[in-house]
Amino acid sequence: MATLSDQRPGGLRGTFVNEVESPPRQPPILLVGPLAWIKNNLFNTIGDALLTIVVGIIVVVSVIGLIGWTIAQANWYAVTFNLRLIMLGRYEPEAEWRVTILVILSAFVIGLALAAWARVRQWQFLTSAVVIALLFILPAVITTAIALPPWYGAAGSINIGAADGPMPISEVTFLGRTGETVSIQLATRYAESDEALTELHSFADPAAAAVLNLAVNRLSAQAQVADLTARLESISLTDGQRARLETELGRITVPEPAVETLRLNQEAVEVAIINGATGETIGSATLDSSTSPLEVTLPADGWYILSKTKEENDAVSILEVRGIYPILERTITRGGSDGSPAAGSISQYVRMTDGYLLEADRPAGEDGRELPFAVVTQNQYRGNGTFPDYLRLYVAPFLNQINVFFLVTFIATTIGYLAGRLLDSRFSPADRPRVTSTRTASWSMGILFIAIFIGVWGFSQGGVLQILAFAFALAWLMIAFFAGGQLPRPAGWIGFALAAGVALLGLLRPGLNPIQGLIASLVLPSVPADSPVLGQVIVAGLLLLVTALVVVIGRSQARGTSPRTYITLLIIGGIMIGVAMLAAQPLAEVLAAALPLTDTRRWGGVLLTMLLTVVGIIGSLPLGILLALGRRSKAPVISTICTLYIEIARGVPFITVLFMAQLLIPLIDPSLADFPGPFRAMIATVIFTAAYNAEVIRGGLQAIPPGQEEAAKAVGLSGLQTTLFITLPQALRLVIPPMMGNFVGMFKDTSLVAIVGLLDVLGMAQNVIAQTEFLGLRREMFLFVVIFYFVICYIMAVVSRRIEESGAGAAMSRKI
Amino acid sequence: MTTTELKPKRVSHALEGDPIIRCENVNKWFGEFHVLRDVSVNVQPQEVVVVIGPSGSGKSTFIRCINRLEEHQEGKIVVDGIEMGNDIRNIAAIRREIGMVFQQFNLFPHMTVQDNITLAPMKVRNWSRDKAEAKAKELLQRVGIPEQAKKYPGQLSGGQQQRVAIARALAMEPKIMLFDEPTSALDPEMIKEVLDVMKELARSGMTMLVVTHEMGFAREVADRILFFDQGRIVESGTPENFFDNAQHPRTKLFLSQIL
Repeated sequence: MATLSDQRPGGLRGTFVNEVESPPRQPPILLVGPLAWIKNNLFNTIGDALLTIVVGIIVVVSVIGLIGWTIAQANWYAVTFNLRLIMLGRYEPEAEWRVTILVILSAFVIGLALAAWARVRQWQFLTSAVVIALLFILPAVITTAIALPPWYGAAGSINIGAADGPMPISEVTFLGRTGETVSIQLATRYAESDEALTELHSFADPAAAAVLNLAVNRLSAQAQVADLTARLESISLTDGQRARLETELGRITVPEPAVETLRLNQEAVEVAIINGATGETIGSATLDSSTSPLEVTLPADGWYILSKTKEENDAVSILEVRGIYPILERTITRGGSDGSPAAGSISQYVRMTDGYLLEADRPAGEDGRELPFAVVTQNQYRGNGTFPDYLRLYVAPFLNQINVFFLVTFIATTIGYLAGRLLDSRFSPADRPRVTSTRTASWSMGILFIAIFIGVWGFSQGGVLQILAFAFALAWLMIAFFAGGQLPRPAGWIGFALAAGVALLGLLRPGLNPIQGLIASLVLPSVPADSPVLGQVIVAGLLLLVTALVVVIGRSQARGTSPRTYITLLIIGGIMIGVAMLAAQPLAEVLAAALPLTDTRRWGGVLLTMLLTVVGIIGSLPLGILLALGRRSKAPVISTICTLYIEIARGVPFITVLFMAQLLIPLIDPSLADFPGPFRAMIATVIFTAAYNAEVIRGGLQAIPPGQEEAAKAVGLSGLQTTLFITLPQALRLVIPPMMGNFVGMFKDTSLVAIVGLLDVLGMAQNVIAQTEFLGLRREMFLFVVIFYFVICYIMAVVSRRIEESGAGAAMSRKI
Repeated sequence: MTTTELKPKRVSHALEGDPIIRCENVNKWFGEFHVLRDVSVNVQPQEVVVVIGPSGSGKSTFIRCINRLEEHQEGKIVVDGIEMGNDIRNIAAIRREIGMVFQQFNLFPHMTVQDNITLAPMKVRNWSRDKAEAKAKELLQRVGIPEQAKKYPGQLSGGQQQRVAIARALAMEPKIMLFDEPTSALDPEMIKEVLDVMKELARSGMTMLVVTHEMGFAREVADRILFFDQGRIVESGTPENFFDNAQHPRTKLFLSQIL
């Protein structure tokens, strides 16, 4: 407690001295905790409070609207049907296993990276495990607890509604599976009155839908009449208004109730289920309102026919059928095994509700024509969907398609994480507990990048872009090391030099002069490569990387490396290179046979988007660093070239860079016309993004205080060492947020490749909704694409934030 | 300690009895401004020279010329028998033998204290990590903060940071240490801990050039005091002579203002 101490001798009037020792107290309740947060952030002033309320209302209303549309109106089968197209495009099904393995590898490396640079808490792991488990449990529960909605089909032989209205079809084929039960009954519940009829919500064939429309029209006409009559009874009308209302009323005729004119469900219907393959009748019945449903258990997978006939010609019945579901037909053109075009086109029939697929021909009717089936486009869901139907029709099939993917990813990530922890506990010294996993993860990323490139594309002795990938991977690895301040010691350097040298050697092709060889090697994979040099290069390079990995782990284990260790390592490395050179030719042949080149024109969907993004990030980062350093260089030639490059690349829109890559490259040399489109897009992306990265990195370099460079020079570091260990690492850390912004922007910009004819996620989505089966479903499709882009961007933002907050960055942010 | 066995044989290019730093008629301009005018100084091995003077008198510029953080335009600077010129190898050789401590510490904020200290010995002298870390441990012990090795500079107080900076400079086993106002950016409470380290260093026989405003330190430790004014050395002498018997009127004025 402060007391007034001016009575003390020498005390000054008005001075407070804290005489009593007071212990620290808890702050008042409105200063800390969630209440304080709400008060300070949402309701601090009257303006804030108003804003909060208005925004809150807008958010709630729009979210409710969106969710309502999602559940009641949206037809998500365009998404659930085409997941493979959206994921992989038209990538060869025979090569799909490579993508699977690459996904597993990537997840493993992500696990390693988590072990090296982050920590997974127990609750985080458990939450993920529970989510994965839910992905399996939910669809199982939904499928058992909720029955599939029925299909309503009309029977009768009159045109419904008008002379040109739809007529019920007497025979419809459907796909059935062994042991499934088909049950048919009259939809009496809906036939009682027009009001009851409008309650109908499910799949319905065009005739049943027409009946439904009649009832809806009648009810709305009735409502209009009631409305007009009520208004006419009002006394405040002028004569003119009254006359207008009366003519309007006179124009409306309320039709007779649809249930009566059509004599809905009043006559018996003969129904039969016929095996489409054998033609034998499995079950038949005459259904009227009193009979119990006809139930038939199907004996085998395949086509079945439902025949429904009525004796009375003027009556219509609506059948409620369980076990018949709409079908999508797609025509697939299969190439021959030798890659020759169009060995034949085949029709595939897919059941919408569970994806059951059949390739057999449809059964033919008496006149030899194939019988109609309940096609998706004509048997769409009518009425407002219910939540159970939404779960059963869209959520469960969707989850069933993605759950295995997530489970495998989860397991691989966990294994990677555990492997990283194990490496650390075995090999890392106590004072640097994460050094082994950090190094392993850094190296694995480089190897993974090569693996992705070779895996997706395939292996060929002529595939020189693989060398390009290899060179970039080298650069990437070096950056990974510099960023950690962990430059490899001489052994590592020798490894780098050898690998780079061998890679360069590969550029000098026999039969061409060096410059032609270089150009051909850099840009043209179709140049015939008779020599085994390329195979040697790649194999030797890969083996070198593995060697280097062993070296790194060995080094952190055996601390204090003696020259003898280096010599041993060099001898081992030399032997490995020798073996690689000898084994290159046969190994290259084996690899080329095991991983044949895929057709780059078939790359698409998420696969293409991710490839563009990964190549864009990994390619543009080192290039951007070089450009930034070059622009700051004291040598005028270098700085001018770099400045020109940066300003030109930043001065044109990305789309023009893409068009240039697509259209102008063949003008440089006609032989370049064969250069695959995805690679052109990749090069364009790298060129474009590197310029932006360079400017961001330059900003970072300029923000480093000059004292840093002076201190580095004063302890004797050379200019290169100063850049590599002192200024560049600090600058890169400083620019993580804007650079991640660049990368997110680039990721979104990859969608522009759709304009130059590549089918990335967006291009694929547009392609899908252009097909007749999925017409009118663009909202669903684009919403899905929006969610995809958002999720990936959000993950990138979170990763960037975690990098900023981790390790030295966290300590640095507490400014000196 | 194994490090003493591993210590390489240090070759001096200077002849026996020669000064370790020899400056002859050093001149330097910043644009039009003549910042160093005919500065000539010899520093003997193990000598502690304190440089004082009003701000802008060129004393910082002078010691920064000695390890080529600033380039002099006329005259001759010879350090340990190597002449400072434009030959990058000579500059590198000289910088290896000179440690420097800055007013603003200039520690590398993205590295731990230990990595700050071990970086240069490992990269420049090609020591093994073990050797460099042993040295770092020994030096941190010497400057009195062995427990801070794993922290980042941002987590230390100013005095601790400056002591780390001294340890970082000493890790290269320099023959000469330059101090550029090492206590000017420190809170008064922390000045003493840094000065104590410097005194200990002086007693151990290190050749030191110190720019400072700490007159107590100068009086106690310095073998010689140089007084700079307008880019010239206007007075030079032992502390006793300097403080009690200054000759030049500018020196007298300066001393009367600060004492």
